[in-house]
Amino acid sequence: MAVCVAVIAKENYPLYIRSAPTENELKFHYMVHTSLDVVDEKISAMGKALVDQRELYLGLLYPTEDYKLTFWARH
Amino acid sequence: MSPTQWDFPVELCCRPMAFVTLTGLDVVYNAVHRAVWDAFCANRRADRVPISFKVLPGDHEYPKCRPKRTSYEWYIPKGILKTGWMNKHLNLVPALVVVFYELDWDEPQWKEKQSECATRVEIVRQSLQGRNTKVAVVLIQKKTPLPPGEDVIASERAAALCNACELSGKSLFVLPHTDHLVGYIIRLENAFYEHAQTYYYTEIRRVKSHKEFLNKTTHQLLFVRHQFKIAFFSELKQDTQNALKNYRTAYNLVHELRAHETNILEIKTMAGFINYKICRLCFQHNTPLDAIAQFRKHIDLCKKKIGSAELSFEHAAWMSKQFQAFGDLFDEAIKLGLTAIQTQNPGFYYQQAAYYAQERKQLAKTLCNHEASVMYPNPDPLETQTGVLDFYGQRSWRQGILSFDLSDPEKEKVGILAIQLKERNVVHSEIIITLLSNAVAQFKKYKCPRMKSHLMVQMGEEYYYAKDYTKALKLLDYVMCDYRSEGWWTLLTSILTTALKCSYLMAQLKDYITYSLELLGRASTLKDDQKSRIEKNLINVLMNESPDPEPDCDILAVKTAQKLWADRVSLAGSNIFTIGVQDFVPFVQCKAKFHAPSFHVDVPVQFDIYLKADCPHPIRFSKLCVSFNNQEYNQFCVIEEASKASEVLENLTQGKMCLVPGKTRKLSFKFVAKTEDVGKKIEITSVDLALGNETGRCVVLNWQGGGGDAASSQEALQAARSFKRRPKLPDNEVHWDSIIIQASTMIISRVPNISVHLRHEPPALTNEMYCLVVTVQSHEKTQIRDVKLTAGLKPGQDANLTQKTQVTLHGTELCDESYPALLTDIPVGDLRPGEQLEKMLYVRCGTVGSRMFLVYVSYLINTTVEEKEIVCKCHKFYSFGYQITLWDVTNLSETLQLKTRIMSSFSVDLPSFGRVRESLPVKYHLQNKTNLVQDVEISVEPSDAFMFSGLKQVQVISCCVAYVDTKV
Repeated sequence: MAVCVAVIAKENYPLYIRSAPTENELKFHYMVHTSLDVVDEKISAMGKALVDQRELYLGLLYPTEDYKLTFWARH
Repeated sequence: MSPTQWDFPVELCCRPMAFVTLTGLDVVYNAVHRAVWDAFCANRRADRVPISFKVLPGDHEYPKCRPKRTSYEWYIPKGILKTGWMNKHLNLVPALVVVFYELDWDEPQWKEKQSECATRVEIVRQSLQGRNTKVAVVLIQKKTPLPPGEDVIASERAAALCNACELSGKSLFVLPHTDHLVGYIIRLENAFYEHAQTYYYTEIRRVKSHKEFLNKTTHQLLFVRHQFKIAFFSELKQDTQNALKNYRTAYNLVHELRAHETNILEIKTMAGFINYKICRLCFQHNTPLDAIAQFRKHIDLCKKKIGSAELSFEHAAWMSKQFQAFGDLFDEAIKLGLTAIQTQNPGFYYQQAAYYAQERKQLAKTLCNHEASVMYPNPDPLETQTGVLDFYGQRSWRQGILSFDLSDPEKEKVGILAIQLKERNVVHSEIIITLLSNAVAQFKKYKCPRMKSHLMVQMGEEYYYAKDYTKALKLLDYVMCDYRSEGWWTLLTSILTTALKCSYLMAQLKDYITYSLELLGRASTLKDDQKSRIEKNLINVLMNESPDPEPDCDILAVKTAQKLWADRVSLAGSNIFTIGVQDFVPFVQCKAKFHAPSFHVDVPVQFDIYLKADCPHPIRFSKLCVSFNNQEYNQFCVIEEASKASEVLENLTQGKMCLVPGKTRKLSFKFVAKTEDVGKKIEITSVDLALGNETGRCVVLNWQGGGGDAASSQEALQAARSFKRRPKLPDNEVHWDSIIIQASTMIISRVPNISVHLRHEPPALTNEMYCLVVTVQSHEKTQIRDVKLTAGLKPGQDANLTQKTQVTLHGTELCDESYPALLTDIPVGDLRPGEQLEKMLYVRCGTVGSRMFLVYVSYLINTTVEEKEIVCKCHKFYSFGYQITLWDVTNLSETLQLKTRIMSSFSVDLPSFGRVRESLPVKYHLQNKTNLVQDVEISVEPSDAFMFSGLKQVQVISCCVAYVDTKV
């Protein structure tokens, strides 16, 4: 079950973050923010391919102990 | 930190090496023996065989071997693995005992010596009774031995000695004490290594042989124990593949054990040990993915095995240790050459270890909060007779009891209480911070700046809990800017809240004010009631009073802080705090805007300062100052409103300096620019806004340039992208977002109100004193003074032209090359309104070609701006000069065509336009201005763009006026 959804601007600031009301909101903010390290790396590694092939699904970023983070990139 | 209950034993973490003891060496008094020992143990490089040597006396008592069990039928094991077992086989029970003995083959008293040697061997064998430990004899000899077979006596005596010592020939060695000691030692130790391997092989066989006697109901623990032992002996034998295989089996077996609250710690402890061994071997075999997979499996299997709820902090401690140990193994493998990646590096494991350490702290806090009157039980239930546990992971008060029922619930209670009270003494923060800082180091290495920041926040928070506020603040302050620059306001607010607590508890005025300013601002996600509280505290501080404590602070720490604040109040001294806002997001926003990008010097410079407060309540500022690059203007741009400190929040709607939250306040300024600033840029270098006054405490917010803070650029970007329509505001209000900062303006000269005309009669001829008449007329309303004329060749053209052009005011004299090409600042006096003056200039050009000339008139005029009299310098340019082009009819009249022959005049008659495919008549007009008859030759060179008809070449002799008609 999804516990948190976030939309991030390309400058890496949050446009929208909503998490399940029972959960610690701050924890998810941190989790989304830290995951941007991996997003940054993935996007810079994909570079042009990302634009050309529309390979926008970055897939599972990394599993934390209790959650899984998945990411889509948009133009 | 000293090892704790949760640290893995050293014998588990070390690399097991074959244990060989050397006897008969006197390494203290005998130099030869010392040399032999050094050769064995000094500088052991990686290419030497893995043996751990120890020198022991010949009569050393080795651990007694218990009698062999003949049947397992009635045997019930009391635990999985004895705490002493690994150490026993690493350091106490040797695989091989070597007896060193000084004996040459030609020893005269051979018989006696031989028997003494045999006795020594016998003593060793006695001590090792029941064990499979091998014995070898090394004869230390003074003489270099002859090649094998040549020394007949040696062969005979060797056989005799073997016989006397009951040794096989393979266990007798000779060590000549000669120059090549190390070489001999290496050969010796290789032979020892083979013996040791045989020993461990036998041990494995021995343990395996027990298996057939075991049954699955009563001997479950033994299955694990034996499997572990086989794996451990395989490691000692350096057979890591089989060791891994057997550890894996042991791991599966340990999870097959029936788990209950009473034995779960033992199961987890052993599972943790075996998992550690498996992961370690996987890394050693360069299969890191296997290690990671095993570790994940281990965690998944164990994380729910919490055990006793009253001791659940123990589970968290155990989990933390698992992650930390794996992190260490991972890191060690990286140091040996393994490559890690951003998403899979030791940092994640240290981070998780820190997480469980935090959880442990939380659990301990709730479970161990016994009242002070609760005493530690006596006798200590955690004490054992030997000082150590018999089996790993068992409870000291019920060792070896396998029953799941608690036979003595009272004893159990006391035991739990003892553990809880002990846990209370653990410095959790220290453990957490160490783990976090390990993780930070890793994430720094693997390009995870945000993860690093997040961990540093946690470290800061942990220092806060540990009451080390200085360190907490240092860390939090360091990472704040990362969250601010990326616009993660929720996170920034959370960090600022902790930072505010720290600064409150230390009574750090400036920090306290700075964090308050930001927590009140638009970047703060605090609720209004919180903001109100902070605003009230801020005002209190400005009125030289103590603020209320921050919520959820430690009571004792608050008491200390209150005293500190009281001291601060009584201390006089520097009470003005200037805070630069460019690096944070304060609760007031400021934008400066000049009305225009440039101002004439005779009109006042006007600009507005826009202010907007984001705090919950209206607030009154005491002073606003604007600073410029030319500081002389600063004095004109100050607004000061005298008010008492107590009025900061009162009389709210009145006064220029009172800001109502959310409303944009415009403050207009104007000043008269200095005439010497004409042509220069006036820049606002800073805006200072003061809150509070000198009698209490005063905060000066300082904006660099024309305003804007750490969030401005991101907001501008967001505003530009936004599709939101701005609501309509009343006419006298403006949208904050629509105000664009304009922090500089140019001062330009007053617009001249004179006309400059130039009269001349082309063409100009070479060497002619060509006359230019300049007319200047004033249209000013008052007299203009100091009118000056600059005229001549426009600078910046070909250098030859400068040399070949002269300008003079005197037409009667022919000027030579010493005359200038440009006459500057010719004073022509004053002019009354409407008055006009004429000035004649003469230009002499030495060469043909076109030139640019300029005429520049400057004058002074007195004028009044804002009731202030200023003297303005005005000036007007006039520049002219053309290149002759045949078809350029309109410009022809202005052409200064320099003819090589001074005697003729030339003009051309052209219609104003032509049509395609229609003929265009062109009429050239030549006039002889001299008194003499001239021979003129005319040639016409048509352009390719036209069809030409008419005469191309004409000779005109002795004519006054000639007309040449042609058609193109």
